[in-house]
Amino acid sequence: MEAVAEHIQEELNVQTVFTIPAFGGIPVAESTVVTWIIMAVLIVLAIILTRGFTTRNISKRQAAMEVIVTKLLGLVEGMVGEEGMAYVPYLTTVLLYIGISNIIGIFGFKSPTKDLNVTLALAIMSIVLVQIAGIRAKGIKGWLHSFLEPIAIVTPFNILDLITRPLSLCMRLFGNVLGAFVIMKLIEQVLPVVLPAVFSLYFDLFDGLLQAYVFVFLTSLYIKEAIE
Amino acid sequence: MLSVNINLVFTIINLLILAIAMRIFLYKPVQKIIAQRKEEADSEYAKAAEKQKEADALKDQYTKSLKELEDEKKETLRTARKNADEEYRRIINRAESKAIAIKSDAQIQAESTRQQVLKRAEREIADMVLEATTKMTGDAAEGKEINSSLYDEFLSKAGEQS
Repeated sequence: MEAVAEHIQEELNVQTVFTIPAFGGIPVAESTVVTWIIMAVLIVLAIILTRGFTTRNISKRQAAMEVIVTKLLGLVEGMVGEEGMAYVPYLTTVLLYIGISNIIGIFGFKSPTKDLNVTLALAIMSIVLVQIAGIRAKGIKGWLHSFLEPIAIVTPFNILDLITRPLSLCMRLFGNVLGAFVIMKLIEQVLPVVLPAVFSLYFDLFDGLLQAYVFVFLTSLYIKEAIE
Repeated sequence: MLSVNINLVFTIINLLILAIAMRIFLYKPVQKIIAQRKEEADSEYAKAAEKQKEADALKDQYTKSLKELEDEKKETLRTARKNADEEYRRIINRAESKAIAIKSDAQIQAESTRQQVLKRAEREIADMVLEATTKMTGDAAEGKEINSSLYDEFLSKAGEQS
């Protein structure tokens, strides 16, 4: 049992892959490197798959890409609403990134979302985006005034929301990925064949994609609230 | 294990880059091509509608000119029939009057012929009577004159009677 705990501990540790020899050494973590790989794969796939698009006699590849992209954008658009059209591309990218990050463990990489830095970064981005959306929709004055709504007494809680919302976003995602990982490791210790495959479908694939959806859904909800 | 470090900033930068890259390389091309196709389809529909309108206008025009032609045909036929009737009547009239003229001519001629025949018959009868009386009275010279006056008397009497 000790060995298991040690193994899990080791897996959870985010190792520094290399250190940039500047400003006294900048550590570049595994999560960042895996993120680069995800980015590279996404960008290269996007470029390759959207090449040679035509308006007539479209190829199967083009038809598939059109359906996938339209559905993805439509999904996010449905969450954030007509007024939030400007934030749809970013939110869709986050959906793709978190979704791929959560299931990339299947391919032997360490999920970037298992690093608190990544989920925190995502959460901070989300809350900044929400505030930007609020300012763009209402102006600085209106945005400041929104902290006094519905009544002035709730202002402290509204300000607290600026911390609790990203914190909950960050921790929900991090905790889910971490929990799924720990459970999968334990199941692997109990029975290393067949059983992990079945549970992996739930914990790695279903829960991973679900958490990506939840993250984007909540961010959309906050944006919608901010621009109303 | 739970340490917040510089990788948070890296992740933010990575996310921003990825968001921009996805926008340029994935969403934009797909949305552009869909919008382009929609535009093309719209213009095709507009073109088709215009063609249809043109065709309808042409059809109307043709129908109208066909009707005009039909009317013209009827008019021409009617005029022709009228002319033909007139001509027919004229010819018939002419023929009738000609026939009447021919008939009267024939009557006149027949009358004159009859008169001639009558005159010749009179003369022949007169000759025959003269011959007969000459034969009866003999060949005497004096007798000839008497007989001639007798004959005239007879003739005038016969003319009165007839």
